[in-house]
Amino acid sequence: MAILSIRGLSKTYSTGFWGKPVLALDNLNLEVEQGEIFGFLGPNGAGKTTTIKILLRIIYPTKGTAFLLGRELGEAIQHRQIGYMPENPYFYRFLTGYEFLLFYGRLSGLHYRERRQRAEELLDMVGMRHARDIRLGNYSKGMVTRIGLAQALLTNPQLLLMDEPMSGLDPIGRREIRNIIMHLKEENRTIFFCSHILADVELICDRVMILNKGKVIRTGTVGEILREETTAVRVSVSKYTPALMEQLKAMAVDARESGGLLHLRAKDAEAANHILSACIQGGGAIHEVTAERGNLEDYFVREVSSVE
Amino acid sequence: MNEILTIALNTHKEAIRNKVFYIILLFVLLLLASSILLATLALGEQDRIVKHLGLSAINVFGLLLAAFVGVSLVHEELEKRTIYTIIATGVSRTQFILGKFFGLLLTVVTNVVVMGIILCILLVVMPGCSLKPSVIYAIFLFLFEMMVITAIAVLFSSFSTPVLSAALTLMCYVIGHLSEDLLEFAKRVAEQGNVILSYVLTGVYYILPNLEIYNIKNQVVYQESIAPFLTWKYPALAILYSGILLFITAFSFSRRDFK
Repeated sequence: MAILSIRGLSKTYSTGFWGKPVLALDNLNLEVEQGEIFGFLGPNGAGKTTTIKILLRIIYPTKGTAFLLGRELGEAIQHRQIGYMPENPYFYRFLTGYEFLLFYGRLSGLHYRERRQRAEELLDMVGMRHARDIRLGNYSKGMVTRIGLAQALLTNPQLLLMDEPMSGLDPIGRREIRNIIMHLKEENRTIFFCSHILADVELICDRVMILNKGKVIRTGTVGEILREETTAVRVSVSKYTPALMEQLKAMAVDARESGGLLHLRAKDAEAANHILSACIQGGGAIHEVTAERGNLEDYFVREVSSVE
Repeated sequence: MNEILTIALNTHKEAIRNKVFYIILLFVLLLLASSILLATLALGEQDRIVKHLGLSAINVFGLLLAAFVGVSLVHEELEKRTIYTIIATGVSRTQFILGKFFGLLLTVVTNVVVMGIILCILLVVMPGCSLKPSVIYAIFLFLFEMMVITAIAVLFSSFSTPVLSAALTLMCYVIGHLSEDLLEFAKRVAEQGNVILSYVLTGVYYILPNLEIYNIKNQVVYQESIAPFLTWKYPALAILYSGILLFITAFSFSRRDFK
C-alpha cells in the first residue's frame, strides 16, 4: 500500500509587490510504499521543501492533491503517525532539550508518562543525553539537528518527512543518523527525505526522485540510475605472455602494466567479454573485473546542468 | 483545548525566561523611590500621589509589556519557522493564535496582578495612605483594557513586522483613550461642512475600542464615585472586542502560506 501518494501537485507563489507568479512545483506525481526510504533530490529552489510543506499543510497547493496514510490533504490526518524534521530547525531557544521534547510530546497528544518516557529514550537514541538540561540556545548546529530528529520520532510515526536531515552534522553524526534511519526502515517505517548530501542518499535510499525547478527529471532506484552510469569495464589480468598482452591491448581502449598485472579498460560489457574470453584462451589469469560507474552526484550534476 | 493550553504555557514560559518580569522590579523601585520623594514634598497628599503614581505606572508597564512582547509574538514564530513543526503536529492555525494570545494574556495578567499587590501593600503600610476597594476595581478594569491591547498586538503581529506592529498598537492605544474627543471632533468637523472627514473620524471611533472606559484612575485618586463603572458591561465589551479581533486574526491566518 502506498503510504504517500502525490497526484498532480503544483504550487505557484506570488512574489514582489505586483504578485508576480513563480512556479515552485509543477504537476508532481509520486508514490512511496510502506517501508521504503525515498530520496527527494534537487538543487536549491527545486521544490523539495515546498512539497513537504504542502504535505504538512504549512502551505496550500495551487493544484493537485496528496494522500498520506490513505487520507487526502485537508481531511483529518493522523498527525501522530507523521513525523517531521525541518531543514535548519529553529526551535525555542529558551527550552532545554528535555523540555523541548516534552512540549512537542504534549502537543502531539502523548500522555504525561508516555511523553516523559519517550523523551528520555530519544535523548539516548540521538546521543543527546549529555545535553538534556541545556537550553537549545546553547546547542551547536549538529546538536539542534539531533534534537530535531528526536522531536520527529516522538510519536513513533509510520511516515517520517525529513528535510535535509544530515545538514550540519560531522561524518560521525551523519553515520549515526544513517544508522537510525536504517533502523527505522527495519521497523517497516517509511522515510521520505530531501538531501543535498548525495553520498548518503546513495547509501540508504531505495528509490530517488530528482527534481529541478519544480519539475521531475528522473525517478528510479539508485541501482537503476547507476547502471545507466556504467562508463567502462576494467579488467586486470595476470600470468600473461607478451603475445597475449599485445592481443589484449589491441582489444582495449586503454592498457597499462603495473605490479605484474595488466590493467585493461574495455569500452563496454561486450568488449569486456571478448577480452575475458581471449585471456582465458591465451592462458592468462583474470585477476579483477570492475564496472566503472559514475556516482549519483555525477549523474545529479549532469542532469540538473543539462536542464538548465 | 490541550493544544491551546500547551502553546499558552510555552508562550508564558518564554516570556518569563526572557526576563520580562524585571519590569516588576523596575516598577517597585520607581514606585518606592517616587512615593518617598514626593510624599515628603507634598505633605498630606501622600495618598493621592501614591495612588496616582501607582495606577499610572501599572498602566504604562502593562501596556509596554502587552505591546512590545505581543507584537513580536507571532511574527517571530514565522520568521524563525518554529511554526512549521507546531503545525506539523496537527495544531490548527486558530489553536495556535489562541494559544499565543492566552499565553501573552497570562503573562500580562500575572505582571499586572503582582504590580497591583505591591501597590496595595504600599497603600497599607505607607503613613497617610489608605487602601480602598476602588483601587482594586481600577486594577481589575485595567486587566480588561490589557486584554484588548493584547488582542490588537497579536492581530498586527500576525501580518506585519514588530516595529510596525508596535507603532500601530500604540497608536490604537492612544486613539482608544481619545475616543470621546474623536467623536466630538467629528461633530465639529461636520458642522464646518467637512462631511467626509467627519465620516472617517466617526468610523475610526466605532472601529477602535473606547479604552477610556477602563480608566477610573481620576475617580479613585479624587475619591469620586465609581458607580457608573461598576458594571459587567465594560468587561463584557472587552471580551467581545478581543474575541472579534482574534476571529479576524485566525481567519486571515487560516489560509496563509508560511514561506
